[in-house]
Amino acid sequence: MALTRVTITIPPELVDAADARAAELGRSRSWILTDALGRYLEPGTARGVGVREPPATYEAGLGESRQAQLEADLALTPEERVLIAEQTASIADLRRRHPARDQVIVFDRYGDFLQWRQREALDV
Amino acid sequence: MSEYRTHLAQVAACLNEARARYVLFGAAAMQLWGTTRATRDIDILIEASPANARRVLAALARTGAGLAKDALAEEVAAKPVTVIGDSPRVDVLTVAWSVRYAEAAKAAVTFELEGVPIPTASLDHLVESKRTDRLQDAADVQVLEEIRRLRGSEPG
Repeated sequence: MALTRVTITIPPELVDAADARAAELGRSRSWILTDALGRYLEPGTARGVGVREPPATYEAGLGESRQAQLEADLALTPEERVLIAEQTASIADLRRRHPARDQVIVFDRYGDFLQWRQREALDV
Repeated sequence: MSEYRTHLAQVAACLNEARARYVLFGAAAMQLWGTTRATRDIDILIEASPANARRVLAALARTGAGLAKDALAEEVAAKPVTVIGDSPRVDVLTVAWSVRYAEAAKAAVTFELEGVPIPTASLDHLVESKRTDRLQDAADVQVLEEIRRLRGSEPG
């Protein structure tokens, strides 16, 4: 089989995984990558089908970006936080489908209120 | 034109002036405790008596919710939730999921916003009020737990 040399850029952890698999099978890194690509492109196989994605990792807690946001928020005064939050809400209000209503809505059940609130939140 | 820069201060000032018995809950309370999470509504848990509901309705009528003065205080006191107005929208609760006014008032913490004192739910009660099956509430509980870890349970 004629071979062509290509240069690709892939995440280092993928290279490590390929190397580990190669060592396990007594094959070269190139063989592993060629075999994987061959399976991926096999005729009759829908693109991506049969190729399993690595399981997503879910962190307990807030995660890096939300944690950073919270720490930045905590550095503000309560007044600054309320102002920022209300300004954000007023921007969302500009996209609402209806103008502000004078309304009184009475709910018999708390669950009904939660459902209503969820629908209202989508009204942008 | 309100003399306050925030809806929250405006609503709380009217409630205080009317001597309404209430405790702030929901995302607005979370803002005082430590986040900038936006919300369209101001949740207040009130003492569920017709007399207090009357004070609450009178106060909210002054915030632009004209229909509040036509609402029946007896009904507001008897139902779990009454939504009043739209901008600001105030959700008047007689129960915050599982938390009642008497216990919330005992543990409430007073924050001051634009010079207006606001009785605000404790972190414990805020967490308790968000033990629903809503994803947003689950996310809020994570934030509240982290606020408690980072800053403790005192206002400031």
